[in-house]
Amino acid sequence: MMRSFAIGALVIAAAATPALANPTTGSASTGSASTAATGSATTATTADGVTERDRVDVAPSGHAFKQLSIDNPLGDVTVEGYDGTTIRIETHKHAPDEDALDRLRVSLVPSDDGTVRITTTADPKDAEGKVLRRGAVRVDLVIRAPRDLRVDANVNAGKLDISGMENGGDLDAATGPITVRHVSGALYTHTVSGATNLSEVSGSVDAQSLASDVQLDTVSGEKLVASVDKGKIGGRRVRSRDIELTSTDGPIALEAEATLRGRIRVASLRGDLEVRLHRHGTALLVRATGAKVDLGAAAQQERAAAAGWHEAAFGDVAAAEAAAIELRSRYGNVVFAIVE
Amino acid sequence: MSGGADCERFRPLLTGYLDGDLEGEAGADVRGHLRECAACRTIADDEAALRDGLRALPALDPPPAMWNAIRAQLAQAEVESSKRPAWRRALARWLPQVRMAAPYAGAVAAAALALAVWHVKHDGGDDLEVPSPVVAVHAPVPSAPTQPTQPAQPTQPADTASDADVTADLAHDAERRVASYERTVGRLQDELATATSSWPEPRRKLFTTHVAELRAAIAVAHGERPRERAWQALERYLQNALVRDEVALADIGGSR
Repeated sequence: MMRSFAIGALVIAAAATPALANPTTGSASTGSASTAATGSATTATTADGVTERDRVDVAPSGHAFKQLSIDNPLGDVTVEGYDGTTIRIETHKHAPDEDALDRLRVSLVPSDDGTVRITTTADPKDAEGKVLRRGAVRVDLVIRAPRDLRVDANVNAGKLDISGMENGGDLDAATGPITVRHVSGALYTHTVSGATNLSEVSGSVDAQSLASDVQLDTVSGEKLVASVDKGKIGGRRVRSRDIELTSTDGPIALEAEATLRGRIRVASLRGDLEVRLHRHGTALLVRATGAKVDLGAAAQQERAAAAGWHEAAFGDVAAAEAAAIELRSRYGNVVFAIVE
Repeated sequence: MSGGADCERFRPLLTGYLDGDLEGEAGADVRGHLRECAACRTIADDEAALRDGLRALPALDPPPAMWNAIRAQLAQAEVESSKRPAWRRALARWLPQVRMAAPYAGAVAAAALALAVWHVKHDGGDDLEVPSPVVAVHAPVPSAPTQPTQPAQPTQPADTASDADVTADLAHDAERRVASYERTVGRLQDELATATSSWPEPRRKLFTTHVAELRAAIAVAHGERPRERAWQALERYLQNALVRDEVALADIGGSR
């Protein structure tokens, strides 16, 4: 069933007005001082309930969009970058019935500073309304956005998937996974217990998790910081110049490339550490401490070190370009190897 | 620190707060009090740690005879309570909740003790470090690595499958996340208590100062995300202090 856009489904408001106070109703297009929007919606009823799909295109007028700020505690968020200027937002809403569906809101608020805010909420039930359990409803957002936007996004248990963006972002999830692919720019991720997967990321990265794994694949940039409290950190094809990986309980496995004057610090309280480094002729000074330490047979010089520490040199470590590697695990084993 | 009257008012609410049952201002009031009152914060931390400890225990399947004995003790406690004069039962309804539970406390404690004893016996005993869940949580760092085979998730926020209406449930999202950070921070601080005792005084002082600064930042943070960021900064600072022996604030990678 086709119907006109924005009938209680997607609320667009100018920055100067409250997001939910001035809903656009019954029209196929709308706009504010800085934007113009067009859209459509379809609904379908199945045995599982009612599903509604809305689509809206938001075009800048005046100045370009700079940032996308998304808060969707009701489902997934997918953001895909593309070479264009218009933001296309598809909302997939699911609820047990029409009344429940009408309680789900997606608001879109373009600001004059170039930020477009997209927020999902559920209206409070009225006096006669029946209780609507959170697990019975869902709002997923699929957004196609200009690549140069910065993305700030927050989900709860839904998936957060960002790809093809070039200005970094700040991503939050509670129990849902965060997946980032082909993204450049400064990137921050925070999860409580959702897995974090970052691949093909260039730029400074800071990933923090309390109780889940962090996987890094093909990451480069000035700085990479990743920390987990309980969980694993895995990294392969990592080429960041300053790498700092930390876990309290959980192993860390890193396969990285040495960089001139680079610094790699990998530490855990109880986890095992395994670091394999592509040296490419770079001089390295490796310091390590752990329950058992294996610095590999390729170490050219074993050096005297402070109590409890092992040191090994690879190449001319007196040179200014030498890279420094520090590996420490109080109760775990430490293995270091050069991959030629 | 807040006065005793405030503590008396808020302590009965701590359980509900930790359960995420307090909505709106009630939850905010308790949170505000906890920021100011170290004594109540300790109680709340202990209770949260107790819950973490309970969750961390392996699933048990006690023998039917044990459950029967527990039910019998609870039933006996109810019978004794019903025999009290009506005016005492009426009065009890006006007393704080914790005192109302007094007639049952013995039976519940006995049941908990029985479970703990059974647990120790069931696992064969003497080398078990956790005769009670509280001890398990506050136990010193073990001498050998105890890596979980899968990511343990004691800090996972309560899932969203509650029976609450969606609007009310959404309102608790931020609280749940913050509660996860609070629990992790509490555990890291417990572990650090052992480590910092061997630090030189100036180092320990610097550490204490920075923790206080980061806690102050949490207290003044406005809005859900800034408050979460402040908790994240504290969590990372404590982790770096524990894992790397780093105490300088500049060592917090990526905090902002």
